[in-house]
Amino acid sequence: MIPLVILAIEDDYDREFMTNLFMKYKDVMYRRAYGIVKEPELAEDVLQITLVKLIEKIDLLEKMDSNKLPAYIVSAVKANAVNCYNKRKSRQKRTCYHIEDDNLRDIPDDGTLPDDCAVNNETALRLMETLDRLPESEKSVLIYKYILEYADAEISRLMDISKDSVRVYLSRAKKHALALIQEEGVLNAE
Amino acid sequence: MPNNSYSLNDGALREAKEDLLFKMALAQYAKRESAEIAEETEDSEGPKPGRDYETFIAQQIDKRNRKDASRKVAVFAGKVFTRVAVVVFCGLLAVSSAMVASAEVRKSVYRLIFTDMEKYMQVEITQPGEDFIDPDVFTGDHAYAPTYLPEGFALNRETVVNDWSGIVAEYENGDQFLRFEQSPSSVYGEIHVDSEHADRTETIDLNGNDALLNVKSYPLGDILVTVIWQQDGTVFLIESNIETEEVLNFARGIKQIGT
Repeated sequence: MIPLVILAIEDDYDREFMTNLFMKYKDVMYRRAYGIVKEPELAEDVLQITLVKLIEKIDLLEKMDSNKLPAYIVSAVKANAVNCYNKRKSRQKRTCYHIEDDNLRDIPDDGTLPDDCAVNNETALRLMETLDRLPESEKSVLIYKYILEYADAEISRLMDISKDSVRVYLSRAKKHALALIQEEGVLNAE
Repeated sequence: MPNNSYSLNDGALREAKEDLLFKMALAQYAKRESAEIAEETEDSEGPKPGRDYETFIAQQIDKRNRKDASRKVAVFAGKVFTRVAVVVFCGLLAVSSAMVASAEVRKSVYRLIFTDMEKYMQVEITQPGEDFIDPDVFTGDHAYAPTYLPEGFALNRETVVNDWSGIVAEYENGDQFLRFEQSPSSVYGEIHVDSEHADRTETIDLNGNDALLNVKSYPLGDILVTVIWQQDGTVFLIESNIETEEVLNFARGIKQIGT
C-alpha cells in the first residue's frame, strides 16, 4: 500500500517518482529499520519519518546518480532508525551510538591531514575500507555529512548533540579514519 | 621578494583537501552500498524510479504466482476502498451535521477531530445503580448515556472536555476497557481511524444511523474495536478491546437522557 504521505504529493511526476522509489526499496528500508529498532511498529514509524525526509529532498533525489541513490535512501533510514531508537531508549545509558563511549579519547583534536597525503582514488579507497572499522557513531556522522549531505543542524538533531559539537565529532571521526590508514603506511607511502 | 606560495600547512587548504578526500571515500562507500542494496532488492536491472512504473509493476507481479498477485491486488484495492470509505463517511457526517444545524452553523462546514485525552478536565460522577442508565451527572442539554454495560465493567472515570464541548466516559473490567465519547459535530475537525491492516472496516446500521466499525488486531494479541457514528448533531466514538458484538451492544444502548 502506498503511504498517504506519498499520495499527498501534489506534483504528478514527484508523486510517481516517490511511489516507484518506495515500491522498489520499501522492503530493504523496512529490514534496515527493523534491524536497528527491533520493533515492527517503530520500524513502520521510521519508514514514515524517512519518507517525509526523502520527500523534502526530492529535487536532490531525482537528480541523484543511481550509484548513490540506494545508499542515500538506506543511510537516511538508518539515521532515522538510530534517532528513534535513541529517543525510545533515552532514559537508558547509550552505548552503541554515543561517541563519548568509544575509544577516541586518545586521539588529539588538533591534528589535520598529513602534508604528504595524496588525494587520489587509491587513498580514497583505503579510506573507504576503514569506515567499517570505525565505531558506529563515527561512521554515521561521516555518512550524514558526505552521503546524506546534511547540514550541521540536521546532524545535531539526529545525533542529539549541539551544533557546535558536530564539527568536533566530524573532526574526530576523520582523524580516526586517517589514523587507521596511516597505521597501514598508506599515507606515507605516497 | 614577497612569498606568494600557499603552503599545504595552511589550515584552510588542508581542510579542503581533507574534505575532498572524504567525499571521494564516501562516494566509493555509497557506490559499494548501492551495489549491495541492488542485489538485495533483486532488481538491479529494474527501471529507474520515476519511469516505466507500469512495466515495473507488471514485472514484479510476473515474478510471483498469479494467486499471490491476485491476493495482493485485492488487499490493495480493499485498503484503498477502506480509506475512501472513511473519508466519504466523515464527509457525510460533516455535511449531514451542517444540514440539520442552525442557519448560523450552516455557513461553515463541520470539522471532525480525534481528540486527545490530555486536554480533558476531570469531574466527579456517581456510580451507576442497578437501574442502570447512565450517570445523572451528564449535565449537557443533549447528553447521551449508555443503557447497557458488558458484565463486570464499571465506570472508571468521566471527563468533560473544556467548555463542555464533549463528554468522555471510561469503563474498565481488569485489563479490558470501554471508552465512550460524545461531542457536538461542530467541534470536530477530522477523525483518524487506523484502518491499515484492519480485520474489519465497514459501515453498519446502528439504531437507524450509519456507523463506521473498525476492528484491528495487534501483534501481541490486543484488539481495538472502534465505532463512530452521528446522531442529531452529536458525534459518538467508542473504543474498546473487548469482543465486537459486546461493543455493538453497548453502542446500541446509547440513549439520550430523559427520552
